Amino acid sequence: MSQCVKAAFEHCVPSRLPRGELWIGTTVFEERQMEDDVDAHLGLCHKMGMDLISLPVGDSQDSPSGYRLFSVADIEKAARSGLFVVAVLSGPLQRLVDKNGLRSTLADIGRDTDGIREALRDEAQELYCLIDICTERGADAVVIADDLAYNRATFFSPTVFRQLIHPFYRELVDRVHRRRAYAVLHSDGNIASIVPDIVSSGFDGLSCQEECVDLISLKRTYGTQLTLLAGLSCELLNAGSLPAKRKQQFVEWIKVLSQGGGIILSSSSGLHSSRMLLNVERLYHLADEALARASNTRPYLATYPVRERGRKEVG
Amino acid sequence: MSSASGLIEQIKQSIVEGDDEAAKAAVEKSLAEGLAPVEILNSGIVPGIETTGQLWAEGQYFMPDVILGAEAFKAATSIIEPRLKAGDAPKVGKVALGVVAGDMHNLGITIVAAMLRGAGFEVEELGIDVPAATFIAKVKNDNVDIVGMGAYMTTTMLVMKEVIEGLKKEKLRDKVKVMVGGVPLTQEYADEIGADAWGKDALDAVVKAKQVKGVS
Repeated sequence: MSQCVKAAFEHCVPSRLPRGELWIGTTVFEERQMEDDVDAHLGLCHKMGMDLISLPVGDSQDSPSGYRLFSVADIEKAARSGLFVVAVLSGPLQRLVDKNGLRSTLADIGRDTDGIREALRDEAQELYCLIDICTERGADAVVIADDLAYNRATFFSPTVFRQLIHPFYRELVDRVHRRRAYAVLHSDGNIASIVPDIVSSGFDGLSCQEECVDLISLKRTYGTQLTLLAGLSCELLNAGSLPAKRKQQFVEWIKVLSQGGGIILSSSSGLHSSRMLLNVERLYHLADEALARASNTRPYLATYPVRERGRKEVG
Repeated sequence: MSSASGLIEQIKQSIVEGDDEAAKAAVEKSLAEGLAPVEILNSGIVPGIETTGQLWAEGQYFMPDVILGAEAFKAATSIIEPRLKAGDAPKVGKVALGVVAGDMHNLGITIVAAMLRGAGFEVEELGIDVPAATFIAKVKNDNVDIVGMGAYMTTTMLVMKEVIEGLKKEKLRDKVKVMVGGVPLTQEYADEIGADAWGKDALDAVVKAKQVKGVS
């Protein structure tokens, strides 16, 4: 297990800013004329200097979102690599959406709360098994990927979230923790209104869209409880070139987010092209340079503003 | 409240509450009572979807409320539309609306279609995963005023540029207005690819559609 990722989850002082992506799309490998398999992912992660490898886990290889799904055997193989291994599982809501469509699922939430609760329970039961299997095979963390929001707000009210989804999240997080792994939630969209509930579910980490959620505010309020998988926006990943002003903004942003650790440099969208890969390498380099320079005057990574007991060196 | 105004209010309220069965029943009862289809449409059905949109814009309604409202609106209009006379409900313009190729998200486009219909546009829904060629053929062969494209992934929004380039290549670009929308989109991206308007959300899409058509 990569110790600097563990340090990020433990809110301890990491040896460097940990980094890694939740999704690397099939097109990235196609562009390199490579098979999209676990060996290719491991090779790319090592080449890019990533500290974690994420494998979306599913029954078939196909996913409609441009990345492939892996088997639990692939988790086992990745666990032998020395990288921190993350199993990405579709959450209970996402599983329903994948089966019935988003529109139909949301309509059902509006008219048949009891039916939806039962359906979510069924999905959660299957997830418990998947969590057990993935962690047995060596996953260090489990990401529950549930898109709960769009760019403006959550799909449903915070009250509905608390009634329908939150109880299952608590159980899923408990299950992950019982297996001595870290639990992370990923959601697209503006989830700001339900972050307190997400925190109360016990998640160790959060991956969300920085275009939709104020990460600085999130860091200030929940920095000691949540490790953020963040820092690389879609705009930065897709940029043809980065003007000096934009680079400076990124550097300042990373300095703030990395204070006190608790961050894994990552995008919320994943990487889907060679351009994104190139930009990620540039951004890693920029972040490392900036933090190295800053640590001469102020120890950014080692400055824990709020949680004293996290002051220990790991890795 | 007269019987007629009570029925009109029932239609509106059933759409606001997202009750499609109640909406259909109220529309049928209104017709049986002799209310003019155009009055039912303009005083009950359209205000119903407008109020739904307004409650959503104010943050009081969430997606399930809006989806059910859109379904009730659709149920009500399906009864009324065949009964409208020519000229009863003049259309503001014709919109061909679809989610670009590779993108299976159907939520946003559903809401936009309902809101545009409520605002008097004729909307042809092309569905999800629509190839660039289909958008272009629609402009070429039908009398479309606006092409509306939705994309909900950073990987699929690139298709929008393909459509616009295709329209230019076919010398159709001046014939049609192009509107884009979806979670990853921005005004900057809309400008970069040469779209005429970016709809931030469904309500904004209605405002922009009216703007590009030159109606208030």
